[in-house]
Amino acid sequence: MSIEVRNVSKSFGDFLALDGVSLHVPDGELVALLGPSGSGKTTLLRIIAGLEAFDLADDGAILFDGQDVARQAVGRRRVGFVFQHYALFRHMTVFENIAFGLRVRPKPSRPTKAEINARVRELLRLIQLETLERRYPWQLSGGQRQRVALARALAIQPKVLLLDEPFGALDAKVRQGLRRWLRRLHDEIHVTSLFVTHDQEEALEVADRIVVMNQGRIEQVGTPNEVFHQPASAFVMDFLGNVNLFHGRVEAGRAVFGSMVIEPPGGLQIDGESARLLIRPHDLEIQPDGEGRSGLRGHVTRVQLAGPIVKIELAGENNQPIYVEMSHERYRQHPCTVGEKVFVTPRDSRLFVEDYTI
Amino acid sequence: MPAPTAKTFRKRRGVIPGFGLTLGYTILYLSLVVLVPLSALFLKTAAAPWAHAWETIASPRVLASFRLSLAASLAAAAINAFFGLGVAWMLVRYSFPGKRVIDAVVDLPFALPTAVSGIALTTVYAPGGWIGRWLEPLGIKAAFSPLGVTIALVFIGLPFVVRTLQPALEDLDPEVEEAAASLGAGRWQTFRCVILPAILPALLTGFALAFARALGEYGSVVFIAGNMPMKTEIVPLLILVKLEQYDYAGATAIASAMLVLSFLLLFLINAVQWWSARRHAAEG
Repeated sequence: MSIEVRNVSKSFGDFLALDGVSLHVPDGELVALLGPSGSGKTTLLRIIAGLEAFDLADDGAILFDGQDVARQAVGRRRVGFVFQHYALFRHMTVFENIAFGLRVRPKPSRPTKAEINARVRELLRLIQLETLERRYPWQLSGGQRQRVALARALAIQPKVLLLDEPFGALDAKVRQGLRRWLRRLHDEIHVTSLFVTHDQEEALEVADRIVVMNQGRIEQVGTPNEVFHQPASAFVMDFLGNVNLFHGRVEAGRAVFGSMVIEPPGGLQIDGESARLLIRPHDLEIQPDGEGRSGLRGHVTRVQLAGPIVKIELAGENNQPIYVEMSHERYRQHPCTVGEKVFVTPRDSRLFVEDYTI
Repeated sequence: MPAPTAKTFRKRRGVIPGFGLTLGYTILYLSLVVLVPLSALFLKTAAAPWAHAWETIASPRVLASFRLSLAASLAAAAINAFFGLGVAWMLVRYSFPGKRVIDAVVDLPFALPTAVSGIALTTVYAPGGWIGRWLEPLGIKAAFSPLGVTIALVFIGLPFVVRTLQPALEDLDPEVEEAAASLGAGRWQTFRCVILPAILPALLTGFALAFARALGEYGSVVFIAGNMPMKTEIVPLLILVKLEQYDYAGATAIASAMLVLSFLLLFLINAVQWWSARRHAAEG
């Protein structure tokens, strides 16, 4: 079932949490709503679920498969909602928690006891907790509780699955295991899913498509590849991974950042504008010297060899820190030591001049 | 929600030392303030001729007072359990200007001398009083009737229910209600299946406290009750009446019967409470 959000706004007092947001989630996709806290991602998710009131513009709508659900109560939308802190019913066992959505159905549409049993057993197998059906939530680990919460949401055979920071309250190791499990689960059941996260790594690893949000607006929608390699704005690039940021100015059609000059093909027509250059640490190259070439001078302040890649910190002009990452192999070819004066050149970079992007 | 750990075995010593010491202290303390005076009461009853004691308790006037005391106390506790839940819910879930004032007003029945509240209630509910004058044309006699007794007992019992429910409701995550709603449960189903089981132990505690307090209440009731024999006399009043007549044996007999009855009822409520709390007892 596809989800379509059209021109939805929400404010809490003076704070504008959502500013005319429109979004389309295709059927069967696993989509991440990614953004810093306060960007409106959870609010958007809750509005789609029907848990939050909102302001709908005249042309605004919330459509599930083309059907307007904006005025439908949460219980009638058939959404599976998974809360960050699980929100399990603590006086019910794992089995009773999962069965809840089926047992509260009105008589005519309520499955029989045997059908409920079968459905719950099937879900218990899906979340790999068959042996724990008699436990109470407080007898489970955080990861187990989150899986029970997911099974409870899936029990009602939801049209869409909405997850609010599903792994936010778990520790790093469990988190990683659980998000891979969620990806596999989605490949198995293919229910349209939308999950909120502030962890870019999580979004890049799990989602089919990422919606990057900032200050109540959507900055970019794209596949993980697109948002990572072709960020639509400086914010998106900054939010998805580490970047080095340089401030400069447009002069004679070229962007100048100290001794580093970027000359875009076709040139820039807006002289005098301030420009920002964003370079990912792995797109910088360190060379012993750079006679007559465009680049930055600096000296090495720190070399970190532990880990899968080598991380090097430099102090550039005005002592601006520059972060460089490279493979161990490459480092062995051109090793450098703390204090050494070096020259850095970008292999790839993105230039942002006001609204003009290259 | 704090992550409750499964049973952990503590080696660390608590702030308050040793089980032995606290147990000894508890027994001594309870003896001095509760058990010794109550034992004296029983001994006194036992010393008197049984026939006289039985005759006193079985007299129609005393039985009528027992009926009134129990019925009015149960009714008042039940009314408080219902409306107190509403008050506690509002105080926990909503914020509005003047909330702190309302929160403080709930405690007034705790603080007010009972005679003061009794006289105030009587003034208001008597025929011609602020509220009584509106009830009279409807044929409702508030003051000087069993209804008046119940009103006084509702008044003094309210804070017990509200104060025991508040922490339980604060502990209840609003997300749990949203979860129930998203799974298709209606309001009533959410209340019955999700909220009520979670707050039932606290609700029963509040009920028991309000009930116990109502059984023993004297000061506020005697003014509004009118104290008509066979109609609006409560048990504590009869005890006083017997004392004034120098019928000490009769007074102690009624008191003992009251004590046994209260104890049995409280024990019963505690048993229900234990039964309902057992399901998530380990949560602490």
